[in-house]
Amino acid sequence: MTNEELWQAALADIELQVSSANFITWFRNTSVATQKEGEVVVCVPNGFTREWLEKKYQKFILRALRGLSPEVKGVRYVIQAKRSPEAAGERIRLASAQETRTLEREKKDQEPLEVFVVNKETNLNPRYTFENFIVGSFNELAHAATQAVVQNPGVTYNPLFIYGGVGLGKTHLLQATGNELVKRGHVVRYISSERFTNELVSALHNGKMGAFKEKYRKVDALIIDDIQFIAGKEKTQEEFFYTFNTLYENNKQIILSSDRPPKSIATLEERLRSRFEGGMLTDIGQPEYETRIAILRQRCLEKGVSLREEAVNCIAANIERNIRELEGALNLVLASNKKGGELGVDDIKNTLKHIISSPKRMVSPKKVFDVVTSFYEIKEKDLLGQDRSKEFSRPRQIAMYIMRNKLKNSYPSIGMKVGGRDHTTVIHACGKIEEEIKVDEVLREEIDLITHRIYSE
Amino acid sequence: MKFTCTKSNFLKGLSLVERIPSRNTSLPIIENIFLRAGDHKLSFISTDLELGVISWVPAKIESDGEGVFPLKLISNLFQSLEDSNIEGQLQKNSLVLKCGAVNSRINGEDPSQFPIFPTFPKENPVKLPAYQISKALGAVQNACANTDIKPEISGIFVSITPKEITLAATDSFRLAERKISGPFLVQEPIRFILPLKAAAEIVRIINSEEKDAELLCFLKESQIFFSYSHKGESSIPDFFMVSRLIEGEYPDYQQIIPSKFTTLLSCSRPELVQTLKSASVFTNRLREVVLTVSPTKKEVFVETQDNDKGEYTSHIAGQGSGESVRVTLNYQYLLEGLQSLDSERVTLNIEDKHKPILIFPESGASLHKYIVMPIRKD
Repeated sequence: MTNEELWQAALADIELQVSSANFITWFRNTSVATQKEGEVVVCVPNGFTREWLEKKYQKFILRALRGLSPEVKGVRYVIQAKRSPEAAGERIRLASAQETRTLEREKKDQEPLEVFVVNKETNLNPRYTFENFIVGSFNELAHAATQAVVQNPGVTYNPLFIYGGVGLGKTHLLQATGNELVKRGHVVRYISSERFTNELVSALHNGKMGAFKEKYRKVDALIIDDIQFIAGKEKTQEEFFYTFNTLYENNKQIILSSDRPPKSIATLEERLRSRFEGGMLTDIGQPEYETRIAILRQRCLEKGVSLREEAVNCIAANIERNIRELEGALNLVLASNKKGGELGVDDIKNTLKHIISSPKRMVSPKKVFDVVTSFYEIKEKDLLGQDRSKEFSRPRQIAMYIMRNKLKNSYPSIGMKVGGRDHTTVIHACGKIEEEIKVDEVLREEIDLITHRIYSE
Repeated sequence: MKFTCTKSNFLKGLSLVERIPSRNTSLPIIENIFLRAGDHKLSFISTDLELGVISWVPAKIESDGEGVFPLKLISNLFQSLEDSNIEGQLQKNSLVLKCGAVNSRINGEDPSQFPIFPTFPKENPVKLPAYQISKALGAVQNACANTDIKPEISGIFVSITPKEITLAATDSFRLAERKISGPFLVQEPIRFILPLKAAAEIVRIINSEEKDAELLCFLKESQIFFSYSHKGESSIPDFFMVSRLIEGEYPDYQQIIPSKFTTLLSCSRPELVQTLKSASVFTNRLREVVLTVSPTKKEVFVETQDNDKGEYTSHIAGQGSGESVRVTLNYQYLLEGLQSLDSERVTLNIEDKHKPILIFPESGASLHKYIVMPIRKD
């Protein structure tokens, strides 16, 4: 049995022999450090506990241990002020509920000193935790995956690839995972792929590749946000490939996030794509109504303000796209609320007018082109041009489909805008895409992501 | 057990240990204090299992013994006795007392159930300047975080090198650092994080400077032991203290101590303190105070206002260099920082209204620094 199992079993035995008050006082926060050559070393939290166990409970403890593991000859105690992660989590939960409310309410604009915001080693911001991450059906799979990773980093889901549209909580989830891993004593590094690229370029320039490699390969967990940005960057992809392999072969955890699945990252090297897909792939969708309400309530709690139910419902009902927008709307409503007087539902709708954009009016064809061209990494002149190769015709057809389905433009007007084409071309394109969506999941996902982006940015 | 001692000695010994017990439902016996008569001394022990103190006072001991008695009872009784000698005896587990016309019996508990005080290590003691340490701890303890959420900052950081002792405390919104210059006899640099409760007790107990008093400290296995002794007459009883140390790395705060400033201004510290105190009457729920630091106008302008209460403005003279800057602060943080200094004049150093402000005595930045983050006001 492991040390932990041995001690738990011994404690179960001892618990039956001492009063519960004594058991709680003296045996809580104890653990077994080592077991060598018949000597068991028990960790205790302070000197008083050591004296008491040595002088009053030695017999009980030795007997209990011997009963489970006959080779045990003696017990020694060392003082280690370490606290278990469970205890830490519990402390935070208990403290959080009361303290955070009072603290934050009084100090919402009082910012902390920089050293307490982002950790320079890990790059993790301590305010992203699992405790303040709201789980709903739109993200429960991704959340469950991160929980499994935290329990067994490098083993269960490696690599873990989470994708989803903008403002849906990917960074929060990634950082919360990182923070939890740090709490459990792992060496973690979090970075955006953009920064990874910048640091790589700078390291190459300054001949500091050795240090760079050390930095990203000597970790227990590497978390990279927005990995889609390494698309098209050969040198970065190459370096990342070697980093990935080194970590993977040593069972070190890799977590990645992206705005789209690996399949849809166009200029991603095949060897990287297959590695990403070889792990756990999970997406985060859009939050449904109930979850939006829960998120708003949580934010209100953190800010120490309370908003009437109708107000919360109104915001949740009108802002559907992403969580960032939801928070922006909340801030706007709270700011207007400050000027005295409670806001009624109509006032709120008025305030949110800017954000509750009527999708049809706000989105222009230009916007559609921008998003599609950036998604497929092609130039606008190619999208609108005459080239009929798959590389360009596909995105072109998708752009047409979106303009018809979401913008509800007429076929002739779409044709005109997309490089002066005939309206029948557009009809054909839309029909084709519609049919394909029924069977091709990847395409469906891509169009969802593109649409989401169009409305979010 | 049979002893005789003076009321004042008894109370002195008791006062050192009376603040330590805290409510403990699983081990109620530690809400009491442990009394032992032996070695020509009366000893008092109390603990909350993370912190423990033994104090001694001189007494005439006719026979040794020990007992455990309720703190409040003993304290209340002894306060009320007249200033004469007290004779005490143990009968079963009760303490029977006689003082002047008063006769009393305090019921106690079985002393064998009281936690055992860890043995004092004898190796490598570090000698510390008792009163200076106490004052330094007192100067930074207000800035310490009083919460368990971030354990590393729920204590005071102490670093001892041959050159100097550095103490620092922060609650993530403000930070205080004080240095005591040596030389000190340490074989190698020592660092540890002392829990706030232990630091507060040291500040409370060592409240005056006694010549020839010796404070030793020993570190062993995540614990720290202090030993205070004084030859001859002393207002502070000799004592031992044991405390757990806080595990973990103290944040590397050196890097956030600002060094670039656009505005510097020195002014009278007592005047600024007084002005802040009056201004605080009109501060709002967020405890905001607005300072306009203006070297050109040679003044600091102080404003507070609250929608319900009203408003307040005042100004004090100052001199310095740089641009005028208007910054919003939590008045309590600012006030506590100023009060922890004892210089006549202070210097305010500001980079801009969103960056931390550095405050130190006009005479020396090296000995004491206080940094406070402003409140975001756009």
